[in-house]
Amino acid sequence: MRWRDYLQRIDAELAIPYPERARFLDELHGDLETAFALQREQGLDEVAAEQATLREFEFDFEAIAALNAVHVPAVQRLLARLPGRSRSLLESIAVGLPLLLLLVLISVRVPLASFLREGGAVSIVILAVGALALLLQFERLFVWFVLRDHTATALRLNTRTPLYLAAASLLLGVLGSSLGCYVVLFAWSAGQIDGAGVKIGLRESLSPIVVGSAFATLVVLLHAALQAGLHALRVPDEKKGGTP
Amino acid sequence: MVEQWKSRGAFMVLLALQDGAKHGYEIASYLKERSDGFFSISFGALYPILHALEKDGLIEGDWQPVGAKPKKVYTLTRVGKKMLGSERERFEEFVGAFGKLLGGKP
Repeated sequence: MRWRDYLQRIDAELAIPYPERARFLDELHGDLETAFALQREQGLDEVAAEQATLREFEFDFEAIAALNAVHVPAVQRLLARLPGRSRSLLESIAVGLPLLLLLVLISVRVPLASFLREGGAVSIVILAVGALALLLQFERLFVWFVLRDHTATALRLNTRTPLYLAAASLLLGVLGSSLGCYVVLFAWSAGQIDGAGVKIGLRESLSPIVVGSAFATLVVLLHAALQAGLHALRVPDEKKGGTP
Repeated sequence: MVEQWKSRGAFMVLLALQDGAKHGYEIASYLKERSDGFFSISFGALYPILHALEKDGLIEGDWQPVGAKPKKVYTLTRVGKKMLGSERERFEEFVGAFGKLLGGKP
């Protein structure tokens, strides 16, 4: 595309949220084509017409700042009025509260406490890893869809870290459950427990894998939802050198 | 809304749209041609004005398939026309009064 470099440069300088930014770049692209066609009609060759068009559409710092100011999202405008400490506190609560509510909801719907007790130390580790992954997802949700901050810094949060943490919680679950089963079967084969004990032991051994897979599922589902949301807003795929 | 509306650039953009829909490049060209080059608005200044006026509901943008690439074409809304009318009257009064001063009339 003729204007790719120019549009990418403007895109990088803007702090306008998507999809407004994508629409503005479309608008700019359309006007660039018009200007270029007129330059060509006036007898300039392609290169000269392109250069003349780009000179016409040169945006200085003030122009970019003015455009950004017009499109500041309402939530960011409101938060900007708060003192720095209050704003940070509010943002932390906004990120942490959904996680807390989710954990409370899970505790009410499923016997989380007994799962953790039965699963032992490995379940606590899984809980910590899974909760961290969920916290990262809620942070993204807040920054991208509530604050509507789509600056390069904000979009750099778009990493696979939560997925790795989800995989870790699942693998820890598998490991914890396997170890638990091994210990129970070892005790049974050594004659230390009877058939009833084996049943209880095997049931309890499944706790880590249940907790791990539950967290992994939640994290993956949230990740998919966030990516679909970014796609719907026309955010370029991880901002990898493509205009929307 | 009022602050943007009262800026000279916003007034000129509304004036450019009073006789029909235009896209950004047409608006800039129109102002330059109609004022014999006296008023020229850079695109860096034009887009923030257009977007602010659109947000304020004075103009509305619509995508039209003009040529190879769809273009965003702006038109005045009813509110925009009303505002333009009243501001135009105010400006004409201002120009008239200033003309009298320049002419040295009492």
